[in-house]
Amino acid sequence: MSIEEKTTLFLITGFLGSGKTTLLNNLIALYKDTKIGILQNEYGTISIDGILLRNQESIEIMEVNDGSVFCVCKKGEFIDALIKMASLQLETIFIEASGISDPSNFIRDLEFINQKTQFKLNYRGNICLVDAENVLDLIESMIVIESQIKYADWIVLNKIDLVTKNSILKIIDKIKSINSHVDIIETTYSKLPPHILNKDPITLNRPEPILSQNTLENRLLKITLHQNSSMELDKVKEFFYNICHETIRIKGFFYDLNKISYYVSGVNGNFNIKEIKLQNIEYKINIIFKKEVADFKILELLEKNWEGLA
Amino acid sequence: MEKLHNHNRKEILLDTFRHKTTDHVPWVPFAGSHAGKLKNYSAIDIFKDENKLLECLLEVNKQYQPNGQPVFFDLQIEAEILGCGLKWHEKGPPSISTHPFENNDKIPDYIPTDSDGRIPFVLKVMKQFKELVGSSTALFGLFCGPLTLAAHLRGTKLFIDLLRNKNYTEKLIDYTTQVGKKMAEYYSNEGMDILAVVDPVVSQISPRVFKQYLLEPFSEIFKKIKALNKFSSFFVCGDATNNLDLMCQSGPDSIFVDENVDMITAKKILNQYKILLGGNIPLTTVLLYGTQQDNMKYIIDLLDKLGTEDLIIAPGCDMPYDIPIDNVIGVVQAVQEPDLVRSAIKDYEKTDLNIQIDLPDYNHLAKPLIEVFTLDSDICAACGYMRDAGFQAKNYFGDAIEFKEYKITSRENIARMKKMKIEHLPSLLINGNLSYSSIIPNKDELIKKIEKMIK
Repeated sequence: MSIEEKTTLFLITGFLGSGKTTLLNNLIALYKDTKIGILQNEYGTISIDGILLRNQESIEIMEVNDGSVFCVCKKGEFIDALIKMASLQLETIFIEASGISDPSNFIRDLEFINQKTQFKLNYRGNICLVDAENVLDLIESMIVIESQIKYADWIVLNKIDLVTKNSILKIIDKIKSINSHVDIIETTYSKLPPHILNKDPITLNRPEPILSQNTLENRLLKITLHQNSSMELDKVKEFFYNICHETIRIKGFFYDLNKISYYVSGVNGNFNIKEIKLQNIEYKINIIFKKEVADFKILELLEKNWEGLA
Repeated sequence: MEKLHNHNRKEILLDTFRHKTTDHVPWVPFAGSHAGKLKNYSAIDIFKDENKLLECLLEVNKQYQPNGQPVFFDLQIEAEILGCGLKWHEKGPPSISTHPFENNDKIPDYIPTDSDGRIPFVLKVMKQFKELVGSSTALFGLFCGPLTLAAHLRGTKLFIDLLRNKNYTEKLIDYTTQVGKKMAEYYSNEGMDILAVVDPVVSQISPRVFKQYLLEPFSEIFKKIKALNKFSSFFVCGDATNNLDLMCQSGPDSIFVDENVDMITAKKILNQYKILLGGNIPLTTVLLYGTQQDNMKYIIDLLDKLGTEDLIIAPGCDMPYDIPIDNVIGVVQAVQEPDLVRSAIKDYEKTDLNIQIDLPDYNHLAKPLIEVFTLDSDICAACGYMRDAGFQAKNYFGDAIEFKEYKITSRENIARMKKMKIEHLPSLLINGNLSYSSIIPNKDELIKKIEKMIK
């Protein structure tokens, strides 16, 4: 199954009151001609927003209540709900995480989910709502906000009409200090330009999922390839084509014989290569292999396919 | 047979709290709503019916051989009494649905008495359970921490209060601290050995906020528990790493964390304060969706990384209802006999055992054959019970049946186990068919099954 045939998945994060649900309503309008699903999470309250959203037709909605979907005791429910939603083979799913959700382990959770279901999910990115009016104060009090920004692929800087231009600059500086290359969309009422989400985000600093010392995933073999000289683009493609079926995650950057930079990313046996125009790139590629592949087999695979590449 | 002696289980945990060396690292299953699964009761059943709750607690105690056991895992008891609405769930504790002080800036002043709400229910079960297992198992009394209780009462406005309403926040948290201290007293009076303050929301706040609003309140709580002459625990969910040092400064005897916290990092911090570290078996990827071997491996890894001093093995949080019982049995075995389990896993994972095993012709047996696969029934308690079940059946039927035990301490038996595709230990098979996996069979039920075959 190619990436294009998978359900596209977006994660929406942002602190309480930042405008997530308004964003969701805007997205529902933007995606009105596609079959979408919404997985909504609320902390400690009945989801009033869920009731409003149900008035929309042809949208699948599921809720996980009481506790952030990233709380460990709720994770099972979240995983079950997402697997169920994946089986509906929708075109797009939006997960609206609760305001105090820490998304740092979401990619790892998603890899786990993709192993559990035949209906794969293509994670497009994390849209993080930031409340311009309160963020600079809140970020000092609530650790989770920094994590939400850190793992964001798009920042929707909302409510800019309520703050001065000077404040906006300070906020942008703060965001960039946490996530240096994230796209920031300044807006009011969570409005997004159409097609903004069609572009695959390339976040230079998209942090690796936290692999705690204490998880099974920590036994996965991670290899980093550092580029020292130019490579032929076709040979790089062939290399990844030959090894990707044994991988869980591929991510990194390389340059070709013409010094053009590329971003390669892959999840669960697929990969994608795109030309990019970014500065100050560190040319290296991280590959995480499936845990059932023995170490010696990985080395064999790399040696066999690396020959002539660089 | 030398089973782990019941009277040692409690002392192993209490000695760990006293920083003494013990036979093995103690283990505490946080079987709240999950306890219901062992007897096919829903979470609602056990949170409202004291007989069903007690039945389930006893089953947890029997199957999971804990060194310590919480009696009740529900952080909403206090909040319900103070006016929060509850939503009940079939497979989990109730959740808060309304917050009485969400649109009301008053500070509550009512301190729950031991006759309010579900407190009498909880105290009664505590008393009964203490009488039944109190000599063999240390009991935990869990109560809601001040920040989480404040969040229950105030809703999400609390997070803005922390920022903008210092005076109000201080008074609210002072109030919820007094509630917590009172709950600790009630549970202490019913004989709970360890009093645990459970405050998940702590992982959400910055160290600056913790120091400003919570260091003093938590210190007050732990001083109170000390004055009651009990051990204390501080439970937190989520990535609380940044707050661990301050949490230590508040003075608990132990801190329990979940999979979001790196245990090695946590151990380094807690060791400086001589505080026990508890945790952190991942609830979903390991306990819920992993295999029994995954769970065993996880425990062995944890022990190999952390050593055995000042450590308590526990799930990361309240166990999800649907965790396979086999998986928890695997944890028990690994905790009690890590060397044995380490070696058994190593052999089990080899793909080239090259040992020829001839299986009986199960379709043409002369008499019913009971086969029990165990880790080592002389040492592993659950395995001992399973073997005993087979023995009892053999004693009952005499020569009318055959009985065999295969311990996987031998490579031949591992090969047999793999050939027969046995995945969990202990397992009991009748005529080659898996009849019981990890759960100890009821004697009468087993006898009836065998009787049908003899007829």
